[in-house]
Amino acid sequence: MPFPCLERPATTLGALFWLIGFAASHTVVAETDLGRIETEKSHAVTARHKEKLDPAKDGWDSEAFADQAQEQLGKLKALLSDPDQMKRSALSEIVDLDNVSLPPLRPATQLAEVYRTSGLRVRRLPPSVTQAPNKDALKEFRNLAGAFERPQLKFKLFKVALLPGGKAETRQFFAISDAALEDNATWKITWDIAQTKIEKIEIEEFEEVTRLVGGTLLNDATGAVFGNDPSLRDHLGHGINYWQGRIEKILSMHYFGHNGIAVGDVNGDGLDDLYACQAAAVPNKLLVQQPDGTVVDLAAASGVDVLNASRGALLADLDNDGDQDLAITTPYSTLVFANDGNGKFALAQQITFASGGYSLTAADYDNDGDLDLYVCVYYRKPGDARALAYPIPYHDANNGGQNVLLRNDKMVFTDATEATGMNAENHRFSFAASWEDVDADGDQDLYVANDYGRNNLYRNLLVETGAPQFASDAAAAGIEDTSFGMSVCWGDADGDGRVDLYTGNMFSGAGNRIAFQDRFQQHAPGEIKAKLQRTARGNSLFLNNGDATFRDVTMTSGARQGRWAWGSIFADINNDGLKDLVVGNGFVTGKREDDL
Amino acid sequence: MSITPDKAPESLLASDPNALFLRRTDEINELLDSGASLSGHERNCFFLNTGKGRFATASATSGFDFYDDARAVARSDWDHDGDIDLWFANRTAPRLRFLRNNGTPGAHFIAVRLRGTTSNRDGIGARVMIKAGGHTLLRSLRAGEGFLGQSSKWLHFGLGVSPRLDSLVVHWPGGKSESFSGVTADGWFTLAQEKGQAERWQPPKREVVLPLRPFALPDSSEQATVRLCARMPVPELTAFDAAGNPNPIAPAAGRGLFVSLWASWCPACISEFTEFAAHKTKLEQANFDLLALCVNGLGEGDETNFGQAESRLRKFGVKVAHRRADASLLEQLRIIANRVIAQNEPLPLPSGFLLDPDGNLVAFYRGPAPVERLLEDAASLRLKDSAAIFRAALPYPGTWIGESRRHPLDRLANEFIDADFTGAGLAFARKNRQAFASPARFAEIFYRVGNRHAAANDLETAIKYYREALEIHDGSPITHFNLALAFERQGKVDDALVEYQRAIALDPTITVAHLNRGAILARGDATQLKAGIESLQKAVRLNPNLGASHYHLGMALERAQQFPQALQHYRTAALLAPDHYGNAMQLAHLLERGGRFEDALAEYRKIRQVYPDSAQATFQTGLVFEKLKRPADAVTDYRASLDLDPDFVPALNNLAWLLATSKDPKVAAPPEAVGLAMRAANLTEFKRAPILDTLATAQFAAGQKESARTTLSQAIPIARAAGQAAFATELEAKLRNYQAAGP
Repeated sequence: MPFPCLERPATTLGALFWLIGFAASHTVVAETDLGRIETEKSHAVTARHKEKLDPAKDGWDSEAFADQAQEQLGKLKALLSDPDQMKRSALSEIVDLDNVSLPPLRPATQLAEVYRTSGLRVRRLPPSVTQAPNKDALKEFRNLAGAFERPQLKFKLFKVALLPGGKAETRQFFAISDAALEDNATWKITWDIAQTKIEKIEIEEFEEVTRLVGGTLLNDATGAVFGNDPSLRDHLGHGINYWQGRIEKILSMHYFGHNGIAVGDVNGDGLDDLYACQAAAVPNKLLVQQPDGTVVDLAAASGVDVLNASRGALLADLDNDGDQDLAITTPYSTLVFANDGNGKFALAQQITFASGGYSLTAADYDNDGDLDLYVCVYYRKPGDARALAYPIPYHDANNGGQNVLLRNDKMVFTDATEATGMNAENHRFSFAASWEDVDADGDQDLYVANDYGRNNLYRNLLVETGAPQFASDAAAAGIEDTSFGMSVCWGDADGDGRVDLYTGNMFSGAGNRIAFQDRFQQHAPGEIKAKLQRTARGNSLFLNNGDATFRDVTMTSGARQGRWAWGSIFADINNDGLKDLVVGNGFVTGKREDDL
Repeated sequence: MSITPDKAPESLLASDPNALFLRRTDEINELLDSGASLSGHERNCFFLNTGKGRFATASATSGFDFYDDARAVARSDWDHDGDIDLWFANRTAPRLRFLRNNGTPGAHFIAVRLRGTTSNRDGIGARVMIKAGGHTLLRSLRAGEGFLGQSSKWLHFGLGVSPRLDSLVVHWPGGKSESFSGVTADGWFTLAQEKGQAERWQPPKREVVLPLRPFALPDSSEQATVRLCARMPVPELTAFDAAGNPNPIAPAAGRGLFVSLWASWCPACISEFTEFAAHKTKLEQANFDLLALCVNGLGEGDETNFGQAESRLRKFGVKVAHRRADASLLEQLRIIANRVIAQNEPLPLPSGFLLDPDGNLVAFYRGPAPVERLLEDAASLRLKDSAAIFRAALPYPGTWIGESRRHPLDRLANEFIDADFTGAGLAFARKNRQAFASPARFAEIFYRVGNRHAAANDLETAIKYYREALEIHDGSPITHFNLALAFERQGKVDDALVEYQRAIALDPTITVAHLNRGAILARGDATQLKAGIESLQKAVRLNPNLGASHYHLGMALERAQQFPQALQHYRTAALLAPDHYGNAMQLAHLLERGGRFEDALAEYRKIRQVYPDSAQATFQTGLVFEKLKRPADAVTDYRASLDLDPDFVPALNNLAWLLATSKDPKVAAPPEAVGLAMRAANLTEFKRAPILDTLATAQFAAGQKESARTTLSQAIPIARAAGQAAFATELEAKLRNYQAAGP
């Protein structure tokens, strides 16, 4: 009996995500509101998916319980946000108040101060401290809520285990904060399954950050910085959901909003300016800083109001003539513009063999005194960028795009990828890269972050051998980091004078829960399972051992839970000499309320 | 005599983890297209370095925790007040945010920029090492880091509470290391290569106030107008007149056509026609006609109708044709709109389509089409040059570099076909053949139509389309494969083999082609069986995780009498697809054949746990008990099998035999045996010799000797005709015994 057709079949097994709820359908309330026809078909897609993604149907009991636990935690969140709601009756629906065992949820008296400057204080619960359980649960929850003013709260459930005797155990991150006080804790909760009630809470980790003076370190001055420039109102004030409904697909209108920025001084007045890439058909912005700190968009007057969908941009003196030139990656080419010295740009080269680029980085890899370019290419074909990729195999994909190394010879860029050995391991889904002299031997090495698989370290052999050749070497250095890599940043994280590495990846609560269950991938060899478990674990921090090898300190760093992280860079924001980390995150906030 | 039933092989589901992941990706893409979120509403994170490589989460207390879908982040001391400000780009609005650093009281800093001479002028790649009171501060100058971001070229060092600076060394890229003097805290310095002395740089004297000013994001109305950057051909569309007759949507000669999807109950539609009425004259003088496409009555619970809509429409006094849309047309228009911009939800009302005199789509409107805009778009109909059309379509001024792209008409054709509008889709594909990038892409249309017919079990038509696809382009392994599959399902195995062969020749890595080919060959003669085994082994090598390959290979090896190897593959298949009935039965049966009765019993028990309603599996355990000489247990299971399926012939037969021949008084029951055997014989129309043998035996044991002799006499010729000579001889001997036994 033959095998079915080679099409993508409609049925599925198992669940990795599930829907939470739907927005109400649109009703006509005003003349300008558009009408809707509700037909069977319009319900069909979401209904079909909701049914398929129901874990209870697939026998994932632990996931089904996780759903219930999350619902209860959601109710707890609501109570904690509003202390007036925190009544015994309401709480007793979530917590078995008569029998629950829990420690002080804000163990303020047992915390040890680990950091203090004039602006911030950090305290942590030492691991050795055992916490005495407190019988008055209601009081504990009230204390917790009472320490904050209109707090933000989040539970992130990342482990679930069913126990004998009708019990279950979940582990979750718990974050509660307002602008002056911030708690991050890991709770282990024991539940009674039948009633989905909390019977025991243990605090595994607790950390508190207190702001000691004035306002928050960083303040949103977006409105002010744009001054009277209309670009904030006209273009930048609309997100991708807006553009998606207006700009034609064939202009490369892509849904994921990967439009980057470059800081540089384009007119030599000593003030930093900003070049901002925009979506297809929306002109890129050249925001030139004025003496009062506001910006004026001079892209059109400067000749860089590019309409092609732009991803990465770089401002750098590519011809060594004393001004900042501009390079941009677009779906079908990499563009190089030369600055005339007065902030006006002319197209110097349209590099079509470096197309589909994302992050753009520059370094002088051959030490000949001028800057070369490296273009990360994610998808195999530019047109694929309209959707999530289809990596094969998905934990170590090698069907992605080919990155390009461009050698600079007097402002003419040629393809040096093959000649330098950089075509090794070059079919991955590369989003980002960064140059650094990792082995401190006087030439520039390159680390590339790949989605769906291993990252690459290309070690430059120029100084060793006299020729600019690269050896692909990440595993040996201990920084292969199999994960969904989206960002690379070098920096001295521990202040020992040696450069360390921080990569932006994805942290998935669901991924963590499911990947660690036995049922998941039960037939996959242990190695693949370990790889899959790793892919959901978050940003990675590797500390330099001093010999160009690195050790992975992610799990103890406190810097791994970056959520769906994109740009993740070092920045010493409070001038204490220690590099902090800023992580931009969030993948797609769609028009509807439900999140996958 | 006992018989064993036939085994029915079935196909196994693939358990390839990659296939699962790809299917999941498809679903997520579809859901994202329809507006769902994926890891949305996430607050940015700020990790405060507390020393020794440890960080504290200070997302809220730092003020960085916006809910934006953030992307690139970049550093800059924008206002030159000695601390790092941040710019970051978002997917959501506002697409840029600027965060100003409030400063940390009492903390010092120093900022340096580099000037290369032998090294590149920006000094990219340089490392700057500062020693300050026992601390080492290292910064490298990079062009591009993080994700899609580039930070300022000023290297900024926080110094903490002490303004002390002991040394500063620059390791130039490709050059030497250089120590710089003249640097002090709380200043900006230029470090020029080979100078050795830092040059203080004074930020321009200025006041950067940037008062915190909340800004409102502009309203995002749903209304939009899109002028296409190229004229897009569309498939033929058919509406209906008042009488229900089909009416093609086509512009009049030399004129454009604006089609507005409307309903009389929709206020926005009313406002569109109100505006049209107000500009009646201009519209009548324009170079296009109006067509209102009515959807009254189409939605759930919509009790209105076309007639009512017609009266309402005429009240506007606008010159407009009126037709009715059905659900198919509505969906076709959505598919067309979705080629232009993302339109995965049903079209809202009103939606407008402006067609040129050739019927190509010129512009699309979501919401009421503003008259001025409509007139402008219609004016653009005069443009003939594709470059001019492209330029005129771009909504904002700017510079477009390089070629514009063309609409993927193949995708439009395929989507029509996938949505069951096969006729229109095919006609469109044929008409726009030149728009396909290659013969292979054009052939794919027919391949897809073939697939739809195959899925609907119309194999003859499927084959016709596969053949057409191959005539256009012979080189698609998948088309050959699916054609082979269709042949196989028709029973034309020779044709199927040829096509599997062709698929393999084009792409030797298609596992299931080797699998299916092997499975067919393995049913043939000795030579074919050998070839089949090779093919199946190839399939296993290509993908060891496909249960079906192991299953079929097991069966082939069993046929070839290679029992241990067969068993191994059944076991592997059982691991990969534990719930597969056919494989489990094969495995158990092979153990039984090999005399491993206890093992076989265990396997049958497992099957019965998963398939408690299987009369066959229940029967098999009985059969094994018989072989284990445990007739009482066999009887129990045969009875259980008959409880599940009273017409299960093998159980009827075997139970009858036991009840008729058992010497154990607790088991023997010849009268019942007769009843069971008679039933079996009836069900098989008295055409099977072993069953008649059982019947005769039962009859004889029940004392119905004459009937027994008659039954046996019927059985003997049947056995001979079936070529079972030895059995027939045995029956003859038994008949003689019965005849000798007297009345």
